[in-house]
Amino acid sequence: MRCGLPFVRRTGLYLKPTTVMVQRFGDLADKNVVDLEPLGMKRLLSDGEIDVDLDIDPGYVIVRSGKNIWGVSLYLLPGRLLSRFPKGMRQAIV
Amino acid sequence: MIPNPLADYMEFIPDWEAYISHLRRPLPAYLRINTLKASSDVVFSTLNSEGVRLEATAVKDFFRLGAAGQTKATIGYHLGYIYPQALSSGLPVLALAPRAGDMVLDLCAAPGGKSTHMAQLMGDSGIIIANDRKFGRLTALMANVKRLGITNTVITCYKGEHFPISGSFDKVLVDAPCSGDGKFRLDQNDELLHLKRGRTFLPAIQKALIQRAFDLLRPGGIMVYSTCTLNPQENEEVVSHLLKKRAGELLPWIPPIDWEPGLTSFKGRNYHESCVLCRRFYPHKIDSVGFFVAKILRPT
Repeated sequence: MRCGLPFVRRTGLYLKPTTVMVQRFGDLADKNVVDLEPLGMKRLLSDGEIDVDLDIDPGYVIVRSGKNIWGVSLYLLPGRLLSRFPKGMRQAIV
Repeated sequence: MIPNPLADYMEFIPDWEAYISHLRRPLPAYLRINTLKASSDVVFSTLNSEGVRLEATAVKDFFRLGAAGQTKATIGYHLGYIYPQALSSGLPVLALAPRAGDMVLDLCAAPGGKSTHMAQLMGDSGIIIANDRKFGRLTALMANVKRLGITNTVITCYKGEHFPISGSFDKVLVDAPCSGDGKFRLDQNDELLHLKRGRTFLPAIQKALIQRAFDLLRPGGIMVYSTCTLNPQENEEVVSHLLKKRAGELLPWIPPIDWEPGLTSFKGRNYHESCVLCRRFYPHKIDSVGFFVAKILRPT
């Protein structure tokens, strides 16, 4: 028997923080958090990718819009943010 | 002509005409807000921005939807801020009153409305064992536990009447499988919509479940037996059976919404006299699903 939430998942060589963990505990993070305006958030959901200019290392980031923590995305150089939100969430909202 | 089994209930349902008239209307939609993931202010502003209007109810954290809508297509749903749930579904949990640090068992947990409500009241501390006998229903249970960001819940798949680990729980909830007539609605011809058909003899299952749940309690522990049927054979008769077999004690409880006391007789059958301490909730009185709740102590 196991208790708790899955924290990370292995994706290839990397560990990806899970959406459920980030939504619950993401407000405790003090780095690698990307704030998006509602329009940018909507575009990330609908297009699956947006251009951003961030002063952070590439890798998984927590995406926040307003006071809501939405989940995880992947930041790649040069300046691409790729949605890693669950498909169900994207389909339902878009 | 009102169909059976509802016609049998005429002898105890107060204000019968209002009850029948209520059955001809669709049930209003309610939801519970999940304060484990965000403050209620953040939840409200997120839902408001999507045009979801909420009306307060007498049950804490439960709201009535201003206009029927697809709550599962909202951002608030996917962020785990809400759980669509009937108003009366919150009552068994309020009767059980789980507290931070408790060891709690939900014997028939799927899809998880009551388990996740308990986790919320416990501040996501202590331990909840959320059990369901049907493996296929665990997917929805697990998805809801994750979506609401709950970390104190273990999911198991046992037949409730054979659940192991006796005598160890502070609290046990048995939201038993039932005929579900508290949810029944009538169509234009006064025919029942969505009548469950099956050959299962529910009272036998319910009696086995309530007895096992009682044995799983530690001395001094409390259990709640609830159903969404108004049928006394699935309610007071099941509770009376337990009180005959075990030294349980029904406890009084004051619900936050309109209620009626339990019955002590129906169709010539007499039930345990303390069944008046059970609580009945009628759809037309509460504008939600009809419910039955009994709170039982295992004495030390």
